[in-house]
Amino acid sequence: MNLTVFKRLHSEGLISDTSLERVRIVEEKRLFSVHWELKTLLYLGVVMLSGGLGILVYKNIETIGHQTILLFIALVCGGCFYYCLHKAGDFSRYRAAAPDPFFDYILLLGCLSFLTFIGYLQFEYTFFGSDYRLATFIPMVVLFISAYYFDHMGVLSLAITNLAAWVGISVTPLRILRENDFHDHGLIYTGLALGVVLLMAGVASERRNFKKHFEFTYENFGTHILFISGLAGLFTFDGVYLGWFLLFAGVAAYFYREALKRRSFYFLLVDILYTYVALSYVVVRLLMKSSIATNDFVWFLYLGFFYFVLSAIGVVRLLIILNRKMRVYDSL
Amino acid sequence: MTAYNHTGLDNIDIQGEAREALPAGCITEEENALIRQRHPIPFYTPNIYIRIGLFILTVIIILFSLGILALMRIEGDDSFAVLLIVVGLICLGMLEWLVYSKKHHQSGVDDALLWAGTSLLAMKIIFFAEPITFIVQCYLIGFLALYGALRYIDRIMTLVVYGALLCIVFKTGTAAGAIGKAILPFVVMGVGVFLYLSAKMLSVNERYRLYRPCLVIIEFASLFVFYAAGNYYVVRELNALISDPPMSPGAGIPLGWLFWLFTVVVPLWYVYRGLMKKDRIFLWTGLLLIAAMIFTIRHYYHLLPVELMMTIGGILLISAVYACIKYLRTPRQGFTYEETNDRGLLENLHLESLVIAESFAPVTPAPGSDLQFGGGSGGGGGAGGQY
Repeated sequence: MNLTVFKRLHSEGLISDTSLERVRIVEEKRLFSVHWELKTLLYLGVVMLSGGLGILVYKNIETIGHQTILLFIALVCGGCFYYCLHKAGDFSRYRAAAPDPFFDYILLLGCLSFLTFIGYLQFEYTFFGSDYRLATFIPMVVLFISAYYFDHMGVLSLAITNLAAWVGISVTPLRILRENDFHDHGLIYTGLALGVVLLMAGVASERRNFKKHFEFTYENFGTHILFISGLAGLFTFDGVYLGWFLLFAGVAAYFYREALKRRSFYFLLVDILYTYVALSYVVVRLLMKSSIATNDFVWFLYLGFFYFVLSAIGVVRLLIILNRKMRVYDSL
Repeated sequence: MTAYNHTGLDNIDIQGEAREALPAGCITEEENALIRQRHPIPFYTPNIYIRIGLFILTVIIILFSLGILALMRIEGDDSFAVLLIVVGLICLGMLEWLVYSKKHHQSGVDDALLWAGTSLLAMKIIFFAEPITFIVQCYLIGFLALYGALRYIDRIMTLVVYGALLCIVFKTGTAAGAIGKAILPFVVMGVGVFLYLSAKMLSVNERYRLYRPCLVIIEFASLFVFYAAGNYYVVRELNALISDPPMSPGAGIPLGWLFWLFTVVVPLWYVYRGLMKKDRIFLWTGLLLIAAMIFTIRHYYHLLPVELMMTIGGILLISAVYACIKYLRTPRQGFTYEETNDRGLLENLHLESLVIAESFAPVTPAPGSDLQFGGGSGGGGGAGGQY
């Protein structure tokens, strides 16, 4: 707090003498918080250690032997989970605070080493047979249980990405577009179904008041997966793209209503931008088709550019109006 | 000098202070309400997500307008350069008008117009520069950005001004012959110190309070510049670049020991000073620069294989943090491990869990193909995504 500002407010008669005195005392006794610095360094340390050990093992695999490594990973994993079980309080359906600053990291380390353990087992010994689904199913179950039991949002995100991997999709923010082949029609339907399931899980968490704070994580993943699968359907199914557009518009309308109901600026923006992409795709397609049909290219190029300028102005106005509408409840 | 209403900018500050003081129990609910009523914010500043959306859409509008005009120009014989100037000036004019009559302030639209307008003009300066020299380009871009920084209190513009200034110093120094090249690192250090001290002095002056965001950026940048100017890697490689005749690879530089000393000592001094003076700018810069120091040393001396360094470094870091947290369990010497400041946006987006999901993503096997699940390079963390 800036004392100068409060002195000014005091001289304007807006705050009392005691208030000014309180500000002065609080400022004098203010502690310097190194919370974020230490947390960042701790995270960095965990990443460096696990990365360094990983490379170390990789380079010395002939001398160490697979069994020793597996045993070591299993020990790390078991130790972490033992610590967590030992420290964690009773299961609660509400938000539970971590018992100490290291709990979250140790749980994370345990989950990650479990993933490595299963992966290693499968890669080296084909332990679960040739069906990869079992090898992703087990970690997924363990991750979901850990996320709920120990109340860890990061592990929940891991569990969701593993669920997606189990059904065959990459869903992390940087990979969702790069690593998925959306020309595969099955993948699109899987994506749609996965999105719906995640959204339902989010709604259920909220309605049943069961780990209510997980809702955002579910909905965030669900929304993006659903929209991206919808766009993929729109781009891929050439013959019936208008049908896909209608489906897309229906989903968008649902999210629009939800976002307004919850006063969520974030979901509103996501919804509007995805819809704008879908609409623009349809318009550009129509224009391209007509330009090929009439063989008049420049004219339709003009039309397209004008469409983008005018539609973007329209969406700007829409956003400004919606912002005003929700402003009173300014939050996420 | 600013385009925005001064009282309005002050009131943003005042309301922010009150918002902080209220939960701390310093002022009462009524006082807060009274402050908000007497110091209203006249600006149009939408929610952060709306701001992002407005920014993207404004950029789309500008780009496609530029496209339409360029299409029309295909038939005329004017060059694209004129178009850049015209559209750039229109953007800056629109910006002025929106800020003046529609009271936009950090609305996304004004950010986009400022950056697009200045970028278009800068593109003209950079790509259609025919008669003017590099140094004149630097001056032009510097003054353009200075205009943006002073009139719209923009931090990125401030950085651009800084960059342009450094380019000018560098170019002048290299043009000044052997002596100029030799003293260049010290000149740049001097620039860093001078700008840091100036920014520090101005930011305590109430008269320049509106520019504090820009001044903080200058402080950060100056600390980086001061270090970079004396960092062995930077000096050695830049020296190799500008020396004539070319340096033989692996050759040292004059006063090498001095620069090595500087490379190692300065980051540690930053951190030390940051902790002593409780100055977050020094602390953060110092922590970042320790990483730069380690990379510099590794670049010339392979003390240990990288995996051993990572393992040992990781263990050291974790134990150090562990010790610090234990030590600060009860606040000591004015330090605490408790969070005191507001996380706001970061908290809301659950950024941490996204980072976790991204860095430890599972491999998705292609359906139907043979299983390629595990592998060695992972070991859990930070392995470039290839388990």
